[in-house]
Amino acid sequence: MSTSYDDVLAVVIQQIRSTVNEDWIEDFEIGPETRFNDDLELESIEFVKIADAIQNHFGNQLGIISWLSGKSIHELIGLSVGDLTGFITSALATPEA
Amino acid sequence: MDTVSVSGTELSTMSLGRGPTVVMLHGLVIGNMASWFSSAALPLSAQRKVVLYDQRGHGDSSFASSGYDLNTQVQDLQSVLAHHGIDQEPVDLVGHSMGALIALHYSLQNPERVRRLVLVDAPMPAREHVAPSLMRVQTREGLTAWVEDELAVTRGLTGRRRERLQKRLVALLFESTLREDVYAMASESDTQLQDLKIPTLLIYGKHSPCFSAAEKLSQVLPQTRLVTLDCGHYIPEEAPIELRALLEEFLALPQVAVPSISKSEVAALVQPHGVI
Repeated sequence: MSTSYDDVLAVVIQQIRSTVNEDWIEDFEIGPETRFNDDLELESIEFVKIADAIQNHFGNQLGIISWLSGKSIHELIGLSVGDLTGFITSALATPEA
Repeated sequence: MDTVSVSGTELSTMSLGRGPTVVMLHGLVIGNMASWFSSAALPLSAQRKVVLYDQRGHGDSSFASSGYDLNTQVQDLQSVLAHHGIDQEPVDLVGHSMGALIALHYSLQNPERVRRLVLVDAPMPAREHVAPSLMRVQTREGLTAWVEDELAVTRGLTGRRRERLQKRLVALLFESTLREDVYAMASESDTQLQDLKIPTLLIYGKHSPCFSAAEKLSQVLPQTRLVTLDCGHYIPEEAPIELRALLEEFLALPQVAVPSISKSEVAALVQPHGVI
């Protein structure tokens, strides 16, 4: 049974809101086009926390770690919410051997 | 991500992968777990357990008004190791800048608990290499100028991220003992360094203002290899690919295979134009 893109998107957005945990983020509109860097102005350590929380939410079968591996932190926070969501959705649909 | 209680504050830490443990320590003020996370810690975690933590007052750890001296920070490191259940076994330590000084200090106090040591642009003594930039900022206006003209510009930090960096620096520089703690940091003693029987890799930027420390440490430490990269002090940001390759190579070596290099051979190993 696969998890839909929209389900994953909701989880990613929830993890962003709970990690940032500031008043403004509660009402900030977050969608697939939202960028961690330009739109949310996240600090690199916040991105690490979000990635860790998402990994824990979906469990170790999710290869988010290997997907992020080797990229610079600047590349990572240059991603959009949709980039991350798309990767997670496809990773969940293709369990690791 | 876990929280570890230490004297005066709480530290944020995380562990990645499984296998022999390597602990990676970030640099002062602008460093945190993200300094190592994706570029080096995740690749290394494919075959190892990699432990990261935010030092007191940094990253996601709580603010601390004191305890930035090396002895307290070594105790913090010990608490992190104990939290992960690895305080009694030998680990590999990799530190950048202040993280390297903490790793070295820990190694001198607990040589039996360190398998291999990697010092990335270790600014020893900190009172000479680190204190000047901190002491240059004497007022909040001066700090704003430092952030806006240098730190934020070179890292492309704008808006909220620049504000948060500034807020963090105000706390560290004006509301804690960090500056006086750094100013009190002298060199480790030659006698202790000469007795350190741990294979040590020194990685320095050829343009780093700390380079004289490379020459000093490579002469005094008995089992060392010095590699010079064509960059400045912020090697994890400036040369992440070369750094990762060096770490993977050095940490893959069996401990016994790392030769003890004589002082005359060390000079021949210095590669002035980078290794990759």
